[in-house]
Amino acid sequence: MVASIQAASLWGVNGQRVVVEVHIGNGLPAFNIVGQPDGTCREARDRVRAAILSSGCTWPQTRITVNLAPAEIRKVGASLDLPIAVGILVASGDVPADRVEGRGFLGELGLDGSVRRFPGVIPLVDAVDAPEVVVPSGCIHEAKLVRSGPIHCASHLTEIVEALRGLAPWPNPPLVGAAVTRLAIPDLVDVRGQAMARTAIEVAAAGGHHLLLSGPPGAGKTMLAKRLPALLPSLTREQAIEVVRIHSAAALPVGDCLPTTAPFRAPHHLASAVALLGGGSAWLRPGELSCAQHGVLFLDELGEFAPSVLDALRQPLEEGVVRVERARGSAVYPARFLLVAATNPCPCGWLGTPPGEGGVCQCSPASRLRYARRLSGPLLDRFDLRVRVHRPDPSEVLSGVPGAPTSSVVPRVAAARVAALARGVACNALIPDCDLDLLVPLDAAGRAVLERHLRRGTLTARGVARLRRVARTIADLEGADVEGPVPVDAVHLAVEFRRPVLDGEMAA
Amino acid sequence: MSIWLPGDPWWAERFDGHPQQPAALFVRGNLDLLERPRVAIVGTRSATQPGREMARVLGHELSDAGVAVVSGLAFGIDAHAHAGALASSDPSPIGVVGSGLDVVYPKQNAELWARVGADGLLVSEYLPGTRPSTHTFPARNRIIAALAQIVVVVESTDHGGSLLTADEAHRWNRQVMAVPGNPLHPSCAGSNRLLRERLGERPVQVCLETADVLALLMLDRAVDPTFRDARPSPSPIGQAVLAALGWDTLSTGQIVGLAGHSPAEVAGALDQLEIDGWVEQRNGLWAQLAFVRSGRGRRR
Repeated sequence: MVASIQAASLWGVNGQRVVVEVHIGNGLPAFNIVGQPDGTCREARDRVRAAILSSGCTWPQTRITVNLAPAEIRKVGASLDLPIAVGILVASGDVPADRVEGRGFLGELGLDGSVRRFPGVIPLVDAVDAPEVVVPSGCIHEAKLVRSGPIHCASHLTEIVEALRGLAPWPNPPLVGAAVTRLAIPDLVDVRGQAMARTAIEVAAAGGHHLLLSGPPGAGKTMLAKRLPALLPSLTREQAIEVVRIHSAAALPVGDCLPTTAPFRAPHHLASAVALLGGGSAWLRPGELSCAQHGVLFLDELGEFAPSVLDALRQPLEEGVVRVERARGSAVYPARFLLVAATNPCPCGWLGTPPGEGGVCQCSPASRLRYARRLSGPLLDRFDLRVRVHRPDPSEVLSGVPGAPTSSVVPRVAAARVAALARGVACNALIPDCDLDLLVPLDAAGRAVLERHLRRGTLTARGVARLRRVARTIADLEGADVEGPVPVDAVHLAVEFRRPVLDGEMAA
Repeated sequence: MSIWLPGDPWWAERFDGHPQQPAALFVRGNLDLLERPRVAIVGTRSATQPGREMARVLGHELSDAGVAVVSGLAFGIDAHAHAGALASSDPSPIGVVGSGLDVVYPKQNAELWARVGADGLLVSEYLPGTRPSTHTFPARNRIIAALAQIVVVVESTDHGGSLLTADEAHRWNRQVMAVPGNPLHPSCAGSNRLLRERLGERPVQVCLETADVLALLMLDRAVDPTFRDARPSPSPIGQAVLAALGWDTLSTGQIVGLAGHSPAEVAGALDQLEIDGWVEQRNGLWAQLAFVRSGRGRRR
């Protein structure tokens, strides 16, 4: 007897369709899985056998061969346990073959027959080539985020067997909306003072310009960065689906409803290049860069990341995608995010802090330079906004006067994004070089400022091009004429944001 | 490059008879500088902004007065004293180094090193190719003391190398001056202690301005006290920015908070102040530049 069951396996951020074929024929009792299963997938043999026996079905004492087609791609993970079990039940005649027609199955099995959730639900459910899908009860809400067709769920293999035999209805949960969990989103109200840093995150949110914060411990670098996602435009439905797809493929928890706020990812500085970019030997897992798609990637203690890891960021920052090439295959992950980095100005962090305000820098000039040099010039060049933050003045902290709330900034950011869309780009940071003169015209005063800096060598030609996009965003935020020349004030502020903030940093 | 040995006519006046005189000196640059009055300006590598400015102003004004400025080409006070001397219309830096003349250390000062070699004089007692090490710097300090008539310590930490230079100056019978600093700042602890505790029998003189040094040299080339600041006067916002900045080193955000103007206005004012020579930025922090009493400055 032969059975074939529709399923899917993960590759990168996408699911790929897999057909599980089961053949039960004469021969000595054996159970083999072919079709490039990885370690987890091969271990399905023991889980499936125990689960079938625990569910009160009989295990065919003959030769069982499972083929995972197509044979040339690698299958990973435990999500193929359930389709293999169902295939064996169909092939052995326990379940009628016509009952699995038009149905796909996904799920991990426990030895007691329980059906468990697995990573990558969303891309896998999306990839199954059948009108109906059966998934573990634990992932029904996630599955419904991306699939509109009928979805059944079960928490035990017996429930599936009985439903397939027509003896019981599917134990689907009642159709109630998933509970919406509102996380407390940090608000700019908590930020006191810090005029430049506030302006900088507003400009970053409006124009998609990468931001570097430098300052002593306790200056509020992390606090500022965490308030950025709320300033970004809400995710559209397509963007939200893309985000949950990537998060699901990266085995991150996905809520029961589509997110509306941009994601915020803050990998630790010991992260490897593969953790950030994606890859790995099993299923080319997407990395943190992709998980921050449409959101914010926050790299705290930038100088503590391995230099090779930081340099690997350069290409994704330029292209907006990560390309992972491996001997087994390649994958392209989306990686269009806003990079926010924080660093101390020197190894001890107190450089430039006056005595009596927390600490005095004890670093030698040589160690300061070594610290600054961990960050390569080409990477620093990608930061269009560089801000030196300081510890807030005690009177500001205790004044009780709240800062301007996020809700007062969001409309300005949204208006600037609309102005950018009218120019034909998603945000001003993406204005192509060739359109700069057309979209970011300068008046005589602005041109004079830039010429002075070019002549003194404090700006390079490439730096000027990047600076002009920032100036456009600043002008848009201030409500300047969207087609007229950029006011000189905006140019001044953009120049200020481009000044080096680290010891020994070169002009750019 | 030339080599001086004991017995050279010039040698006797400076080194002869001293038990620690060098075996030989390697020199490169303008040898005439040694005929001028010579003042050493030394201090800590981790200097405060007022300290750096004091070193720069002293270097510039002494050079203008025809005095050669001797220093050690290190970070901080040394570098600023020579930067000031090089900005003068009559640059006269003498750099005494703790490595071979072809081994630039610290590497970040390579440009300064080259300009001192071009416009001034570089001196070393080490063979070309010698790398600096922990003992070459104290040894270098005694050459600095020997070459100068007066040693001015601008700022020194409690255990700073410039205190060793002051000791050497005492040993070589040179006059020592020190610039008083903030008593609470660790970068000024050593130089302040010097002022209080004197060296042996000799009091350490207070140096508050270039005229104090010139008076001790008994030079009549006094700095013109009526000289006016030639820098363009700042705009009203520029004045507010300077008032907010004072002699601290502040980030732009702090200046915005103190000056009461918008970030864009402050950015524009700082840009203009920087061009006009009122402020400079280092490590992302702004600092005010002191007024050099000299009309003969040349543009850097």
